[in-house]
Amino acid sequence: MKNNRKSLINGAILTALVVSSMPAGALDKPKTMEDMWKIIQAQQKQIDDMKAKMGSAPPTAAVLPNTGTQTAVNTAQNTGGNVANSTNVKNLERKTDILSQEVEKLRTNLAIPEEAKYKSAYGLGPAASKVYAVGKGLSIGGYGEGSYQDIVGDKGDSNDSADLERMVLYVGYKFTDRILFNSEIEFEHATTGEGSEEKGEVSVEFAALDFFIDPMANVRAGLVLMPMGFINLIHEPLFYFGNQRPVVEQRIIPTTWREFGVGVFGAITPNFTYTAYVVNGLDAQGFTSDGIREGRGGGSNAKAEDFGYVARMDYVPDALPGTTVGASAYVGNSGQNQVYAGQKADAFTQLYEAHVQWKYRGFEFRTLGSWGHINNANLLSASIGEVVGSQNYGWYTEAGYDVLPLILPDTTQYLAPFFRYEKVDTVAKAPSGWADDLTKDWQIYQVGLQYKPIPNVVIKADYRNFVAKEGTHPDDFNLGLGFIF
Amino acid sequence: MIFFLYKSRWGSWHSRIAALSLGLCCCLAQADIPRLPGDNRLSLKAQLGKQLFFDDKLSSPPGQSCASCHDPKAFFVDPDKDSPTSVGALPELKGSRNTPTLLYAAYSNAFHYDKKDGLFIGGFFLDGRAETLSKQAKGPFLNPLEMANPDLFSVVDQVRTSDYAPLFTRVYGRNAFADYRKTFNYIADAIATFERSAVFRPFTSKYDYYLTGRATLTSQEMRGRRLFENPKKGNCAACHPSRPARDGTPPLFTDFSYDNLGVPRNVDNPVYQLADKFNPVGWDFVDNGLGGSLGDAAENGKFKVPSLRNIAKTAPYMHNGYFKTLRGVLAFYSTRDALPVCNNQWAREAAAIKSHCWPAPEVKKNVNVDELGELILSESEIDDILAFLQTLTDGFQPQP
Repeated sequence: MKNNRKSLINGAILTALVVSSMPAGALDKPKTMEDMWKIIQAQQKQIDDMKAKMGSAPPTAAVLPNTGTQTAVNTAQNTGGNVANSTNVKNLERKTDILSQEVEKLRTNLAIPEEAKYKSAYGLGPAASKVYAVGKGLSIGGYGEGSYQDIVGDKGDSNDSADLERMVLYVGYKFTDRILFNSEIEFEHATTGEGSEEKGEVSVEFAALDFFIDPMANVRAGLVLMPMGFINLIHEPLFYFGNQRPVVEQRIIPTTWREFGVGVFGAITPNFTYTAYVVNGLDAQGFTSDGIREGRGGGSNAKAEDFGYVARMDYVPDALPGTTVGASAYVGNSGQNQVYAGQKADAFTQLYEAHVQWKYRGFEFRTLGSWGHINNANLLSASIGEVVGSQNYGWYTEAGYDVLPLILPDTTQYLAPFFRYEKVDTVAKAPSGWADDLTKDWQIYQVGLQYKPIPNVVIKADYRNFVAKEGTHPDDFNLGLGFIF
Repeated sequence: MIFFLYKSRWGSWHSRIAALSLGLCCCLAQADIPRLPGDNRLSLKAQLGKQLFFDDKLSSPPGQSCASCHDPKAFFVDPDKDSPTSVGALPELKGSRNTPTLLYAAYSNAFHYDKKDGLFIGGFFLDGRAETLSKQAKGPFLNPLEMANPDLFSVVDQVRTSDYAPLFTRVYGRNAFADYRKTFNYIADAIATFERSAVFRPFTSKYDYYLTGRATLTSQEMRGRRLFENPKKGNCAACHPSRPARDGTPPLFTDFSYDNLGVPRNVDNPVYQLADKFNPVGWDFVDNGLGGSLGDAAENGKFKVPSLRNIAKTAPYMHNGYFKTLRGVLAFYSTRDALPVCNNQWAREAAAIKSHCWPAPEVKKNVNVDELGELILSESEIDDILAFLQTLTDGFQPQP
């Protein structure tokens, strides 16, 4: 009995050593929970079969009286067989343990999925949407972009620059199937140092809780991205042409525009999605000749005497594959109970936008138009000493085509030349008593190349020519890179 | 007669008669005092201040008033543009510093040290030696190079016997003349009150009308403003803010700080030829400005940043009047550190520009090299900034 037990232990140790010395890759990690469960179930079945076999085998020496040498030999043989069986069982049990641990890891998602699926969810960028794809727990994603800018015309007092413009981390956590948190933390211009290094900033671009109630109506609350235009929601560098974001989506729609608020989102039909929030209003004290951009609250002690209301709809028609059409609107007072040129003003602010996107085979086309109106612009102008447009507008259209499949039909790489035209005027109409500022009325002609060796990495080169109605604006050549993960 | 019926409004008979007689006195006294834009609603104290301001009997010998060097017709600076500094009551004596305008001066804070910025701010006189406006008002009366009164008693005595003395007692009470020192303080207080009135803050420049949507700036003026404000170009707004304050106050074009711009010495400054009593070192005289008034060498060479309102009309420029032209000032800001130092340290503005050099600074320490000195503005950019500065002159008539 004693000997048998010792042999069993020895065999188990040996097996364990053999198993543990196996390369980690020998246990091919399954990719999904479902695969994992299938393997576990198969192995459990194997264990059960083996146990059943062992149960039907002849009684072992362990349960027989010691009757002599022959018996001893038989016993030794029988014991050897049993040891082999037991080792198999242990081996399988160990495998099962390892796999169970893997399942547990997947459950808590301590491990980042090795091959994430990059798919846009609820209008967010693909990397920003990773948390929606996890079963439960933590999700980490991110993107980065940087570029070299060479001022090639109308240089004025501008300087060439090299800038890691953005390094962004997405951190999400799925608490339950119904509640999740998602966030974007951005490091701009690589530092937030002091003195001469005080150039960059760290910002929370969004941080919100999603409550999934019904596919048609879910709730989102927190610091939310305003659902306007293409870029404000999806600003990952893989998904727009050129190193710099379209100017219309910087000066008219002030990307990245986020405010603190709450609202609903969902899909009325699979083809028809919507988002609607109530948020803290803009602050008209920040409005300038360059538009409403500096009036954003950004969730940073934002003034909330006035509220803003924003809504968006997108429709993907079945009849036109690859097409999205949509529109959005923002309305709200921006006065925030403050005095402008000696008197209070509501500064009711409106911004409307419509967009069309068409992707067909390698062809990509986008167009977007946006128009805004600001009441009491004369008072706002007087309060800051420069004209604030009572109206502003901009539009752009762009097209690109992935030419690489024409040369290399089986390639997974991407190379697209593109062209974009923009028209933007932040003082489209001056308030009474104020003259238009024609230096704010721009046209931009842009051409470039977009190269993606893999779908997560992009290298960009582009040239932009700015034409201002009055004065000059630097023209630039940009060479940069971007990535998502 | 309605005037007399509303007793509750107009007080006692006695005070009514006093008010009437006072008004009569003022009318008589104001006969040779100019009407000024904004003086139609002056308080009694400000009216008294105006009397004092224009009284040329308050100097020794008589003949010089506050208005002699702060002439309302010349935007409250010295009308004599040819002299870098002003002549005093004694014609053979001239001051050492260029007379600053009094327009908008009352907006200056009391002199203090701003811990946050590490700068001295506010105060009066170019070196900040008077903490408040009323303290400043006392200074010229007793300055031998200005109104040259031997002591405050002579000033007070002159006011006591003036035809506006009843107005003085009306404002400061029956005992207004009981104590010479107090009376002298009252005199300064009344003048400061006048200097705080609407007369000294007209805000009627083209730029003011532009800021309220009642005038349009030309393209050149707009370009000038952009250059003025651009930190990479003129960077002027760093010390001369050009935008309205949050409370709606129009821009004052000064941050009330002190700076050493590295201005050369001015060979035409009369200070170098003053008698030993006033300037014992002759041509070795150096004006240390704020450093001199504080007795702190770390502040040497710094002078108060002036408002640029009416700058086109208030030549000459700088504490010693070195620059006769505004273009010269801009050229200096643009190339001070880019051009070589002139061999002739006494070279005048015109000669320096012609020779493409600038004389060495009067005070070499503490020169501001961070915000000016090498702006490298083109001639057309200087033209643009000059065009903008022209819009800061009060008295613009907007189109109806």
